[in-house]
Amino acid sequence: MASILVIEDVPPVLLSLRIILTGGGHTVACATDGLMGLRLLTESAFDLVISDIWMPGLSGIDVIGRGRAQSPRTRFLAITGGNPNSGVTPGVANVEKFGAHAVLLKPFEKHELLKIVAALLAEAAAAAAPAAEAPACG
Amino acid sequence: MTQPAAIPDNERERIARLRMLDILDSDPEVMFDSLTRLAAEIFEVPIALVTFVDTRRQWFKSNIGLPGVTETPRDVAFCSHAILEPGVMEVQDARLDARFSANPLVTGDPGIRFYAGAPIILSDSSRLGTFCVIDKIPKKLSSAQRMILAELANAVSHAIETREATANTQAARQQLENELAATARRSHLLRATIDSCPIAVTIADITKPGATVLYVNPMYTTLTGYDADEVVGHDCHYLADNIVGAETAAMLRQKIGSGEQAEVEIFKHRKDGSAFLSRLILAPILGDDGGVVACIGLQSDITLEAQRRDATGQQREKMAALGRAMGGIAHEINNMLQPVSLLVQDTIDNDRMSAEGIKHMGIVLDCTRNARNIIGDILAFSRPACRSGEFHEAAHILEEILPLAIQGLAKGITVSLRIGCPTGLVEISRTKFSQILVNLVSNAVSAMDGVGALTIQLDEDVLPSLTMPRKAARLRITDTGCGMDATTQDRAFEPFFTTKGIGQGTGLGLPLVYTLVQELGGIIALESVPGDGTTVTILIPIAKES
Repeated sequence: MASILVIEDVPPVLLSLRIILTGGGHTVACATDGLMGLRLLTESAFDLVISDIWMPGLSGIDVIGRGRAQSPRTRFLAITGGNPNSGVTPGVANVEKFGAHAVLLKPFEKHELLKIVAALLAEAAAAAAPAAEAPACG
Repeated sequence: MTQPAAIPDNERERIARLRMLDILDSDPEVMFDSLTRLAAEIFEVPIALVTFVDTRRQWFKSNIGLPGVTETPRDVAFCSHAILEPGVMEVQDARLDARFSANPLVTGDPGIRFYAGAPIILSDSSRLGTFCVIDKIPKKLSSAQRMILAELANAVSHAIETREATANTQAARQQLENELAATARRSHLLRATIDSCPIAVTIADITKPGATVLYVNPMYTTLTGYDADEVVGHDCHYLADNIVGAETAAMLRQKIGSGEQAEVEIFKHRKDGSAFLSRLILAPILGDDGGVVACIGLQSDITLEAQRRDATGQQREKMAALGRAMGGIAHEINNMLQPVSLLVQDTIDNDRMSAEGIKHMGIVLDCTRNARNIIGDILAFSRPACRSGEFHEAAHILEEILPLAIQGLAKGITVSLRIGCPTGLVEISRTKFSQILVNLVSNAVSAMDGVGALTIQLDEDVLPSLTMPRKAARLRITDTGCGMDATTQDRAFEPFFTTKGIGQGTGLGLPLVYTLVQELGGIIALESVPGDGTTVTILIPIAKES
């Protein structure tokens, strides 16, 4: 099973994500702000990072940018409830990916979350495959 | 024998000069006829002629004694010979002259025996024809008579040149008169145009210290209340410091002085003291030397336009502020809905509920989805304007979307669609058009409470504008519902204002339509009579012809 880091400033959201992902059989680490998230990412390897975008302190965009630079094999999923300052509705047509591999708009449903997590982990596995398989064959 | 005369060396120039006189085949003229009549008397001959030798004929400008004859062929003409002679050519008896003895004019009618002709030589030496006298009996001229004949030819050539000069003068005068008439007509038209112009026009001589007013059109009087004679000859107001302010006046003078056009909006007072906002455009008139000599002022009253503009601006600002506020609200609510959605679903999935509990949780999940959709709607109308790049024939998109908008309509409501003449292409996305139509139809239907007539009408119209009116598609949605009173109409575009019951509408339908129409560069208007129904009219500019 995969190891996933969730970075989210709203505790109930963080908790609900942890419950669902743990229920999906994953190992979940939690961070309540961007800096903490990046620190965890330095300390251990994650297959997937799920990060909120609009957070106090370091924004999700910065977290994803720096995180991807320091951990290129890790997949990044941005989750957002919309920009609190612009009133621009996130919609299918005008989604920015915030530098992430994928985006989910809050509130998303459980099956949507599990589907996209599975897809990103499959990508991560495919990207890591040559390195992982080499010792097995030898 | 008949010997045709030789062709003169300068024949081409000679013929060209002759044609230039515009005399061939012209009517008889007294000055020539009196000379030939005089010659017939002096020389005591029956025939006296003024002839011109043309390419193939000799033509008689004046003719005494050969009634009905206007010309003879050149190859039998005595004059063809005479124009080659330095002076008077005299044939005393044609029957004895080898050149003419067999000439049909000698052997037959008119039976010429005597011929004397003096060449008509113009001042540029071209020999065009002769002055000649002819008799049917042989004759001999005295030297005095020869001199007189030469003088008569001389007189004719003077007459021809005088005649030509007069004709030229007349032609020139005629041309001048035509030009003057055309100029007068043009300036009359121009004046009529300026007089009927719906813009107040002033012309001021800015070479004078106070910029003396030279002219004002009738609209100026209508706009300001001042008659032309109260203004013309006086200093020009709009360049005066005490009227427009020293700074504006200096700016206007500087711009005009350097030959540029200037535009300002200034408050002005009419003769009766009432104020209006004037849009003043000043355009310099340049003199021949390139310097500015005068200045045209074009003024229009934009008080109402400015009020509308301000109102629109305020409405737009209000919308933008609300949009920003809603962004924050949406962010918070979306976050709060997130655990509800995830945890309820997870609880159901993990079989931690009784059957009834699962049913209840299903309701909670439905509510969560609805809440998410409402937030989406709330934000939709504060979306920043962006061009869709989608072009649709107004009638086509209306026919396409209308079925979606009226699906599930109560049986008691009849729908009629009327499409007038083709309107052209509007730039609008399918989504936005649906949002507009669905909201307007939904409002109309709610107003009718299950019974009534819904009419949707599309026609061509013009989007009013002072500067650039544009063709527009006009969509009218009329219902026979309860209508709106004045207070409701005033608040109809206000976000969250709703007349529907709690839970039946967000109060965002019309504000959303308003915002979308604004983004498209269109306008929206409501007409409503309580108890009779409401008509919503929107004008969307035509982007291209279809």
